[in-house]
Amino acid sequence: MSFARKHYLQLLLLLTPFLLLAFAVFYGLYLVERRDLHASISAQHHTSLLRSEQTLRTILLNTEKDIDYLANLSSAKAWSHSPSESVRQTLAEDFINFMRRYPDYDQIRYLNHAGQETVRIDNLQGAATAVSQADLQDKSRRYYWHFIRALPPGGVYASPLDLNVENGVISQPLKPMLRIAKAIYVEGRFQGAIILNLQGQRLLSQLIAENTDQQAFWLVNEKGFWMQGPSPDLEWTFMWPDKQHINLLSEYPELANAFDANTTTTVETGAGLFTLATLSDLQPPVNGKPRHWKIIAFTAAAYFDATLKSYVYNLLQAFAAVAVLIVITCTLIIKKDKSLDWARQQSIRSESQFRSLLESAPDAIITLDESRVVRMANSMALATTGQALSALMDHPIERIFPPDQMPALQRAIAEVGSNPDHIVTLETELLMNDGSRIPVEARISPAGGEQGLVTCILRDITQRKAHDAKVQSLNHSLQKRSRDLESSNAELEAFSYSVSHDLRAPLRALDGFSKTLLEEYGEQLDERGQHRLQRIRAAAQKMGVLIDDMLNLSRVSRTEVQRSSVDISAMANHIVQDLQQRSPKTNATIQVQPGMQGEADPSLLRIALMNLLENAWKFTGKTEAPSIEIKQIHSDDEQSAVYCVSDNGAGFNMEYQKKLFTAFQRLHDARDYPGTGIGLATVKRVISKHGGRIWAKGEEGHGASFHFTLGESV
Amino acid sequence: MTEKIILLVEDNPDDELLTLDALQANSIGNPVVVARDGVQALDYLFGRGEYQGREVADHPAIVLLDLNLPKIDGLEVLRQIREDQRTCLQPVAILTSSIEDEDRIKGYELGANSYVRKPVDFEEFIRVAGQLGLYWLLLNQQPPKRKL
Repeated sequence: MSFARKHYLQLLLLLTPFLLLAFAVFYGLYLVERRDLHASISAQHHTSLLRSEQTLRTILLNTEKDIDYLANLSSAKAWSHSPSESVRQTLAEDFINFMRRYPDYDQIRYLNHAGQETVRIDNLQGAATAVSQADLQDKSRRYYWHFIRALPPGGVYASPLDLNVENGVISQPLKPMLRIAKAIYVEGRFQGAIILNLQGQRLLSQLIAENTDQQAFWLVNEKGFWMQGPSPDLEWTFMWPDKQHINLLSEYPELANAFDANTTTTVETGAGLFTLATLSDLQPPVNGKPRHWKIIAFTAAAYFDATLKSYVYNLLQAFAAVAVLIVITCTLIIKKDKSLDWARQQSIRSESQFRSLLESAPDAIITLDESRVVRMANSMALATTGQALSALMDHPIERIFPPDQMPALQRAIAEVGSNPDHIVTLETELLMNDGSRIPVEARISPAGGEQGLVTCILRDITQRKAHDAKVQSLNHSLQKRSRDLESSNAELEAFSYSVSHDLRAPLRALDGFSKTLLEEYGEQLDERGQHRLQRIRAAAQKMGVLIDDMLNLSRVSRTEVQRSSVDISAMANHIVQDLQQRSPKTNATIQVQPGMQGEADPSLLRIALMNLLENAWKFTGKTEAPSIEIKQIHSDDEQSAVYCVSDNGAGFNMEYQKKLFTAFQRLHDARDYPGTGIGLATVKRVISKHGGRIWAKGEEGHGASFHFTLGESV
Repeated sequence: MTEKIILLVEDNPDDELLTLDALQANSIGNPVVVARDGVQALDYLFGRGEYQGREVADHPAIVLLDLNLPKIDGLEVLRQIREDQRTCLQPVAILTSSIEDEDRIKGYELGANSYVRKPVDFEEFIRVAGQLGLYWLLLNQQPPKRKL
């Protein structure tokens, strides 16, 4: 969902600087802590180094004093002057006493001028022990003897600190040793030397004592070899020809620069923190050359890591808490922003919906302010007026309405403007760009929002006007036609009336006077004259019937159909009874299907049924066994009920079927079957007025059947 | 008791003669006063105009009234007869050629006592005239005369 993604991005953008800032703060804290740690470790290094340096210098210095002391022993001098067993004994005792006091020493020996041990005291696990004479050795072949032999009177020789070698083999366990010797001269003659072996371990233990879990103390000699180092493998490597490539710089080349410096230096490398202190000109010098040792305090990076780890852990916890706080805060902000954003979007959406509604409206819509200036117009408004948007917007509406329309329009706008519930609709005209006018319907309503704003919806009613005019003219002609019809109807009625009255009156006179003439003067006329008078009467009576039938037909035409429920069977029975009375048929079979119902105008239907039954009556007049049937039949072709009046009378030729229902058309000789030829026309008129249909089937000499429907009641 | 007069209101002289013949054919010998238009008929009934001074209370036994009349038509004549207290009970039979429903309805509405159509067949006419005379002159009991 792009919506959510967008907000995640916003959240991320907001979060990142805060988180980075928090991270920077915590990282700063970490750096400060780390620097403090370094500083404190470095300070410790310095303190420890200072302490160690003093210790070392003191021990070494004391060695010189001790050798002086031993050389100045009276027993030692006596032994030099005049060696005797007793003197030797005394000397040995003095040496033992000395060693008991200073257990740091491993051996005290007196070598005579030939390098032969004469007195030797060994420190055997803390116990000073005189070595028997048989075990005394000749040391004249040892490297140091060469140097001792070359010493001037009072000269002191000191060896490097190295491993003890017995009988040409490095003693195991390793026994670091520093030998200091003083040559003894008597009256300018070399008598021998006192050699004091200082246990290197005693010296180194001073450094080892400074070792803690924070720091390791190393001791490196002037050539850069470890005497006390990170591991036993790396120590004393100069003692073995195959290990001489191993030294401090081979393991920590990054210390090369610091190694040269004479002052105390702190160096930090990937391995850890080093503090190097140079112990220059340590006494006694190595065989007359300066003794420069270095003490190195080392704290491994791992220690810092381990120490800082818990701090970092705490920092991380704090950071996590702060981060969570930041995330929550930012989320809240975004959410708030999001809801604002949602509202904004909603507003944009509804604005765009409104806009599209406005633009899709089929009418021109403009909004006007109080001074009738166009503030908004949809595209239909532009299309209708033919104006450009720039020509319409912020211009008074006089631009699009002709001056003579303005007063009414102004009144309407003022009316709507002052009454917020008011809507005014008026017909007016629009002034087109080309100066022409089109009729419009203007619907003016308050626009809502700002006071005095009104919305004006303009609908082009050119077509409507044209339609109206058309409808009006149609209406006119219809009205005229209706008037014409009415007057022709009235004429027809007047005609019928006069037919009824005025045409019948002379007929009555013809018939009446012929009759009286026959009755009163018949004797004076011959048979031929009487016959002619009879013919006059017959013709007059026939014309009377003709007139009556025509009147009937015309009345049927003029009558409005008023439907009601009709019992057709009862009506037919009634007519049959009537006919039986008028001209009885004794041998006839007349069947009326009971229960026939229909929706029809009763009086019109009666006229139709009467005519049909009269016809059936008439045309079965010469049939031996007349049969007349009235029934309702079912037909698939017709939706409404089909009624049928059939007889077995004279029938008709189907060829003339079409003529049957035409007025004054007759298919039979008037002498056989008298009639006017209007009956069936009247029936057809009745059925047509009901919206029904009538048709006939027949065969000459075999009867006829008339079918009709009564249409649908509306 | 005075003789029962028949007032025939008929403008067509043929019809007048035929009616008189038909009455005669039925041996109805009552005096027949003929009015040839609506005005004459009303003058007779109300004792005015040429019938000035005629006793209005002596009303005819029956008025045979045609509808299609000059000056005042038959229905108007009937209306005036019924409106006037003196003649409102006057038996009036409409005798006309018209078989228009409207005429029949109006006639009865205005208080015609019967509506008879003049048939073309004279024999039929004689029969109708006979029945009319028999009924109105012999069978029907006249309303009592009123004192004004």
